[in-house]
Amino acid sequence: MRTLAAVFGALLITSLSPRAEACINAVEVTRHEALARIFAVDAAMHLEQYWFANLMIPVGKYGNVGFLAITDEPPPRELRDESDLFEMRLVDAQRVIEMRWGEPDEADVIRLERYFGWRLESDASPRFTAWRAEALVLLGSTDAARELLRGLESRDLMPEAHAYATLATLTTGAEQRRAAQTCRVRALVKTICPPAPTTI
Amino acid sequence: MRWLAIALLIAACDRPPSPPSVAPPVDAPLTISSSARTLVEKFQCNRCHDVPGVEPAVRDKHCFRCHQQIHAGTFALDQGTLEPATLDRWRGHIQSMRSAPSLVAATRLRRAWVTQFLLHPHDVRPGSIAQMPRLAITDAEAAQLAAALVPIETSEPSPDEAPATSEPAPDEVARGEALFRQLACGRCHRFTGASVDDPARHAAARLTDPQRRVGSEVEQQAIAWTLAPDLRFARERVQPGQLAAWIERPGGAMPAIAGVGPREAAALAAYIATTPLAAPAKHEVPTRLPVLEREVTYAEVSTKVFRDVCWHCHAVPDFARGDGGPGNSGGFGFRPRGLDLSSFTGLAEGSFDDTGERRSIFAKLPDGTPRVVAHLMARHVEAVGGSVDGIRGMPLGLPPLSLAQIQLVESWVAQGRPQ
Repeated sequence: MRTLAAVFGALLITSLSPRAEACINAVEVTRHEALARIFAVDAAMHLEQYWFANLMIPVGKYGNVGFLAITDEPPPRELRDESDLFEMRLVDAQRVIEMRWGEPDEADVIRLERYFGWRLESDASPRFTAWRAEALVLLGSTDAARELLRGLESRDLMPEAHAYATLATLTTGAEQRRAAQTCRVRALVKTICPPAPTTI
Repeated sequence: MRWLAIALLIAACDRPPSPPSVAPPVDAPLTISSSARTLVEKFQCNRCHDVPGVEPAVRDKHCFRCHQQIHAGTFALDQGTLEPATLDRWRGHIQSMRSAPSLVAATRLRRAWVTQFLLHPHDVRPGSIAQMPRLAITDAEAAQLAAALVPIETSEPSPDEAPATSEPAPDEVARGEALFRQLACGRCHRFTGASVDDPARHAAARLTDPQRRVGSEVEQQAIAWTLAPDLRFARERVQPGQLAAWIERPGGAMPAIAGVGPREAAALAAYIATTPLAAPAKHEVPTRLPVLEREVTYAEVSTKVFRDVCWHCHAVPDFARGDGGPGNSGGFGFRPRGLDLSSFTGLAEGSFDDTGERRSIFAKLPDGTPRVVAHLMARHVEAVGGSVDGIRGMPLGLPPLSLAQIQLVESWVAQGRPQ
């Protein structure tokens, strides 16, 4: 099955990234196994194809971190080399897939929210903020989630359409309408966005 | 006592003038002091240039090394092996960014000119796509670097001063011009403002064979053409006396010219240094194109702009082999900006400002221009000799993006940045 996924992955890479050749950092990402895998996972997630993205993520360990199989420990703050970076990128994807597609129970969501919180401590990037907000919504902590997303939205730092989709579920009126409309503009798959409320 | 003072004064006046300091030979070895080395390391001069006594940057951080190795056939992947067909395909893609001038021969330049060039770089080499980037360098740092690169000067003239101590004879200048034409110097060198300048002939001499092999004569000619400076700047750029020496015994990318001895070199130098030059052409900053009415998607703007140019320096560390490039992880003296232009999410996450806070690259500046567009237009301002306060022109060290490319970015932003 994973071989089949790899074949699909290669096709996906080819179709989505005809210019996947950088110079200074990666000569040709499709020739590097880890980069090709990350590329395929990212592309599948953009297309909301989480089942496929999940297949592309290796089981157990990739770099030295060995974190793919670890479910509830703080991730390392210092990464030793690029294989660690690759692995953590895949671990992040694995957690997002689990949150959006894996039908997590409450214990799982608590674990996921904690994970994104840990990641935020070492890298205060908008993507971890938005993912943590998604997890908080699943836990029912809507006020905290709304605050995080409003903080991003007010600075025009919403990392992806999902963040707008989440914000639209947490707000009303003009704010909700704006979030839903922006979601539809920025989403590759529009169905993730709630319908914009109609104006009277 | 008064008579003694007068006698001493007369004696001093009668003393023959000090001989001018001797111009260093153009191939004088140059060593960089430890304090200058610190600056070389800070601004990472060795990422693009050969710097005397300083190890070149490792391949993956070097501006040109990957391209050079691909053309030389010595490029090795971290994983697996490269098929000859792949190398050939890559060679076909890589026509530019293959060579930078060595700093070894900077000893012949004027220190004041080097200082000003470091502070306000401009396009000196018309054949080279890559240009000296506008660094965040202070006056003192520029002066210190210039002093290290130009340790000896025959004199300390300002760039405005006449370069020659005495006017050359008119017949020597005329002979120099005749030699310039006869030797076809204008095939490699632009000489803007001079009567001999022939842009069409210069452009026609460009060697574009992508399969030219490293070390071949064709390759050497191509490098010489690429790095040949516009001779308009020679009189303010090169120390008096060094121009003739360089023409007679060139180094770096410039080939030795058969039949040029001391007399010919002196005549050519006299012509280059004194022939009247027309005022440089006035270039205006172009006006931005109006935003497009048709839909612009991320796929289009990424393919034509962000992944075509920007992501070489603004990638992301995990995706890009541990270093997101100088525009992400820091480099050339710039702090890490954390800017990733390789993906939709990366673009949306913005960059670090001077206080380390994230800010949107699409935020509107006071005049309503999105920040990313302002940086792209600022490069056009820099290209005509200006600068924009607080906004560094991008792409750094490369020509401005076309107005059509900037229009595409601005249109995409105006449409809400659709996928």
